[in-house]
Amino acid sequence: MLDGEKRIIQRAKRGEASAFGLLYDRYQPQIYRFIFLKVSRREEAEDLTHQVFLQALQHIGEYEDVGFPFTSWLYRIARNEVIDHYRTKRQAISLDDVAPEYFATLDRAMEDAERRMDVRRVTDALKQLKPEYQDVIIMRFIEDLSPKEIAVALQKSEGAVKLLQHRAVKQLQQLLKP
Amino acid sequence: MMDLLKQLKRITPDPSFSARSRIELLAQMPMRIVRPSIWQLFGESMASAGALALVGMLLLVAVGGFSAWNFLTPLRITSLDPAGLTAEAEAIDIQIQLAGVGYADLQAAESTPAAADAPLPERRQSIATHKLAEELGLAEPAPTTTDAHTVTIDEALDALAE
Repeated sequence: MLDGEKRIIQRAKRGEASAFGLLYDRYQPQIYRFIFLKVSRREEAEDLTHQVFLQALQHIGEYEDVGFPFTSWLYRIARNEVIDHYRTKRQAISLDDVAPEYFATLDRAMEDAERRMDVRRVTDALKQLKPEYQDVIIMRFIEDLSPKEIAVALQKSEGAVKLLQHRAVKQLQQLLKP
Repeated sequence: MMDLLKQLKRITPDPSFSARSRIELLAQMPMRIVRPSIWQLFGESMASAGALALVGMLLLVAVGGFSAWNFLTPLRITSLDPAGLTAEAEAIDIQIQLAGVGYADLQAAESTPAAADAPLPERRQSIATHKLAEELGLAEPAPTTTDAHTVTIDEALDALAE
C-alpha cells in the first residue's frame, strides 16, 4: 500500500493530477502484468491497461474506502476490462493464438535459459486454467494479494477465494506434471 | 512452482508506453475548481469569528486587568462596605500611633527631664563622663534621677592621674 494512500486518493478525487499520477506509478506495472498474463499480447495489454486507468480516472469519485485497498478496486476494473475484451473479440485464447512477443517479453525477463523454459511451462499451464483460477493464481502468488483483497476484487467471499485457490493450485500442478 | 510464478513478477510494461499513457491520462483530468459547500463556508467563518472573539477577550483582560473582571463578575457580596472597612482600618491604625507617641513622651518626661532639656553635645559628654567615673569607682552606678552626682571630665582625669 502506498504511504498516505488515503490522502492521495482524496486529492485525486478533488482532481489533482499529481495525486493520480502517484497512484498510476504505483499500480500500473502490476495491473499491466495481470492483463498481459491474461491476454498474452503486448499491444492489447497496453491498450487494456490504459483503459483500466482511464476508467479509474473517470470513476475515482465513486471509490469509497470501506476497508479494502485501492488496488482491489483497480483489479476489479481490470478484470472487467479483460472480460469485455474477450466478449467482444472471442471467447477464449488458445496457445496457438499467443503472440510471439509474449514469449519474447518473458525471455527478456529471464536471464537463465533453463529457468526460462520452466517459466514458459508455467505460463503455458496458466493459460489452460479457467479465467477465475488464473485470476486467483496471479493475484495470490505473483502479486501477493491477501485472500481478503482478492475476495474484494473478485466480488466473492474470502472462503470462496480460498477454495478457488486450492483448486487452481491443484489443477496447475496436474498440468505441470511431466 | 511458486518460485517460478514469482519469476513472472519481472514482467514490466515498456517504459515509453507507461510515460505516454501517463501523460495522456493526466491531460484528460478535468480541471475542477473546488467549490466549498455552504457548511464548509459556515464552519470556516465560525472558526474565524471564534478566533477574533478570543483575541478580543484576551486584549480586554490584558488592558482592563482585574477592574474589568470585577465589573463583569456576577458574584458580588452586597453586605460588604469597602468604604466603612477602610475608614475603620485607618482609625485603628491612628489610635495605635497616637497611643505609642503618648507613651514615649511620658517616659521621656519621667526619666531625664534635665538631660532632655540639655543640648545634645552636652548630653553625650555627660554620659561619657559618667561612664568613665563609674569605671574608676568615683561615681555611683546608673543614675536614675536627675539629681545624681555628675563628674566632670577634668575631675575624672585628675583621678586617673592619681
